[in-house]
Amino acid sequence: MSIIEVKNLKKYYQVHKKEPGLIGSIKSLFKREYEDVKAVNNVSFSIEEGELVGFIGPNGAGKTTTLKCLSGLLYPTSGKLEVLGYNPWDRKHEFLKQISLVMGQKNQLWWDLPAMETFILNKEIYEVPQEKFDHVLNNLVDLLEVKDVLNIQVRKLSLGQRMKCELIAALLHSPKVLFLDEPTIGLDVVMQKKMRDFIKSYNQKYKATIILTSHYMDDVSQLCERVIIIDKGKLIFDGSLREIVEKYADHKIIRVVFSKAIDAKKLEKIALVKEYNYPSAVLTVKREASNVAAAELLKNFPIADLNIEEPLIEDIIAEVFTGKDVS
Amino acid sequence: MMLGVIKHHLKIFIKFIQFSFIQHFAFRFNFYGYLIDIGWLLFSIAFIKIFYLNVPEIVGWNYWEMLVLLGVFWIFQALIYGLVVIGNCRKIPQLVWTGELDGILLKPINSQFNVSLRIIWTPIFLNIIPAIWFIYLGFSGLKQPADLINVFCFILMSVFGFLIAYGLWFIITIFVFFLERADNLPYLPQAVIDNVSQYPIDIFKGKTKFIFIWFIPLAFVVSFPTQVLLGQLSKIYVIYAGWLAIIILYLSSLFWNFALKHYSSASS
Amino acid sequence: MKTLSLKSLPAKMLAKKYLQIVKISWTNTLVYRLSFILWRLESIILFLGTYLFWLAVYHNSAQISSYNKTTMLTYIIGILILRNLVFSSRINQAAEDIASGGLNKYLVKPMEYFHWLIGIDLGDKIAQLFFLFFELIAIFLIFKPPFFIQTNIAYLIYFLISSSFSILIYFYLSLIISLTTFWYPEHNGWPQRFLFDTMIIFLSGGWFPLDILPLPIYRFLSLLPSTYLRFFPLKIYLGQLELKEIIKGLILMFLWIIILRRLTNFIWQKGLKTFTAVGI
Repeated sequence: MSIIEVKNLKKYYQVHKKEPGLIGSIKSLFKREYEDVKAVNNVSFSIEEGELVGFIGPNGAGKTTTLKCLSGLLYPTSGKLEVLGYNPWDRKHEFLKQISLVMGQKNQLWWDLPAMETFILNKEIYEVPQEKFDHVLNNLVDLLEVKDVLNIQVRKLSLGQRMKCELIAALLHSPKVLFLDEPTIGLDVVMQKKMRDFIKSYNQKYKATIILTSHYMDDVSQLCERVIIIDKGKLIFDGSLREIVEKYADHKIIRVVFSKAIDAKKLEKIALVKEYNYPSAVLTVKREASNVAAAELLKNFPIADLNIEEPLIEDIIAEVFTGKDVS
Repeated sequence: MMLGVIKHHLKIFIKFIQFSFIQHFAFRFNFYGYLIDIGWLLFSIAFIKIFYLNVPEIVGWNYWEMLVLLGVFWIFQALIYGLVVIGNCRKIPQLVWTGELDGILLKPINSQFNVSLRIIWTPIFLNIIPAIWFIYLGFSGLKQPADLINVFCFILMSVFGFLIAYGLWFIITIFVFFLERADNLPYLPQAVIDNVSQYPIDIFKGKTKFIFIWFIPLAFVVSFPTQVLLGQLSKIYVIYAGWLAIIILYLSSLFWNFALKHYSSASS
Repeated sequence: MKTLSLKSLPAKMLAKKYLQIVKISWTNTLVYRLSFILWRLESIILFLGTYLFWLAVYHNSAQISSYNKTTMLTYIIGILILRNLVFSSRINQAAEDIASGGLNKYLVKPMEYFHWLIGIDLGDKIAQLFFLFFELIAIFLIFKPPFFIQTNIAYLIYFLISSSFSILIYFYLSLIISLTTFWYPEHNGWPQRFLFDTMIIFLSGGWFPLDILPLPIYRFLSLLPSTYLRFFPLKIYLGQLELKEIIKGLILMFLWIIILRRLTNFIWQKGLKTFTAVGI
């Protein structure tokens, strides 16, 4: 049985519209117009134990809403949800003890106390036996390299240190299912990489099922084999990253560096010119024709260097959003 | 099973108190705060004394009885503010509109318990010491020994009274879930509950008095327990207090769950 | 370093800025209409409790010190009026701005932070007084309290003068408390604010007229600026002070204003130096 099962999940919000200005304020005191926002609109999928799945989509697509439904924070408008065999909305304690939700900036560390104190509190709340607590804590602290900051007031830590401690606080009870909402948002490039490495090793080491949402492609391409694309509340794609590339990337990119000046117009006979900054050029060409095109280029132009590449995943996905429906 | 749950929550409650101690131990202001507190206490006694220099009794209460009432009121204040109001109720609007409430809801402990007792303000508990001294002074003046049964009933009733006050405070605070920008809401109960419960209930007359006994049972918070302690009120009121506490707590829990359902956390 | 001199800007420009701030504060107060209603409710209930209690005390028409039922109840109502006129909660914002680092966004603007606070305070006060007017009407209609109406114009004028001084004194006192947040930022400066707010009610005569206290204590309290926040103006209104006492008191208030203003400036400068931007 899948560890996470979602069937026809719908979550609609009612938002009231208010006209700007003073008149609008007064009007809204008396009559309010409501609008239905379909945050999640009939989404279904299932996830097996140990999978590391990426939810991607533009802002407001419904990723965070789905996560919140899965962790029991939001009451679905309709549909069936099952996580670890529980109905998340019941928020049974046994269920909550096995999951963890980490949302980017929001924190659970007590601001005026050292992180260690929050850890101990969580130990009590999650009823983690002392030995297991020590063991897991040491592992996490080593993995994240935060041994020295545990006893410093959280308010005095840097953003990076704080995030690491937040992660530890969220993982101390060894959750079987981990929901990560935008885990790398607001972090610098180095921290982003560290975070990704950590997530990957955590998944491998503890076989935890992890869903992460992001609108950074790198998070997903580095970590997830399976990707679920959500846009405007609808599930557009559910499969492996490679599938997307193969299915939707019908072209390839050829990067060329010329050794001598050329007539750019002649290039267009062979391939589409995306960029031309002598001596380099970026061309796109149909996937099947890429080899032939490359040969043609080499034959007819003075080339110092030539590379055939896959298109950027961002671009592929952007195309997926703008038209081609999977279902 | 039920016992295990209670034990679990008790352990966590002790942790909350520990946390509070740690936080406030590092807090520089404490010493001066207490000095001023003591000063305020002394003035409170002086305040009452000044009245009674001019009038022999106020709505049937003499000076010593009023002193006992003052002590009981201070104990109640210390408990309600220290445990529930300062750290918790006042923070609820913030928890709601920042979405921080999510973190609380995800924990495998009773969410109302968590949100009501997380952050305890221990320094205020020190007020209980002079408060007990007031009560002692009052009794010495009355030249009547404290009857043990009365004391027991008093403690019981005070616990019930505290729960009643907590329930009312909490219910009012929960309205923030349904109202926009009601950051002030946790301060509203203060005005009513503090203001009404610090006086002997008899300063109210007729319909108002009836409301404050049976509808918004603030009489049960300080005034009635004090009267029980002084041996002036029938013990049956302890039973009433118990029932009222259960009803109000139950209502608060119903309302809390209702509010949670309504709660849609702010999207990222 | 910014100085707090009001003379540093041409008057008209200053007035314009003030007006804008007042407008925004007024609008802001109304936008937070629920907050506002709650604040009003709180104020009324506080008043009612005290009023009913004193009513009960005077049940047999006793006399306490120099106050009979009428003058005492007038005093209690006067406390309510002056609470809205003199005390304000907007200056708390300074404490929050300092503790959170939000102060930066004001320091960066071409405007005095203090002018900003004054403007906000004014806007808020106007809103409070507006509603107080209606509340007072309700109180008089429902409770029909025995109210002493001062007929001596001179006393009324002195009352108004001293009340204006009170507003300034409170402004500086409250601001100083908020500025301590520079050195004690824990909990957004709330502990010292709480202590101050609690004490000031009593010290300004908010629970009872200060002169019903034993003489030595009353003498001591008269040395403090807080006595002049509410108690002193009300004493003038009730016509219970001789002219020379009134003049003496007004001069003292004026001196307090100067001292407190200097002190506030000094603490502000010192505080700015200590101020490190705390990011969130």
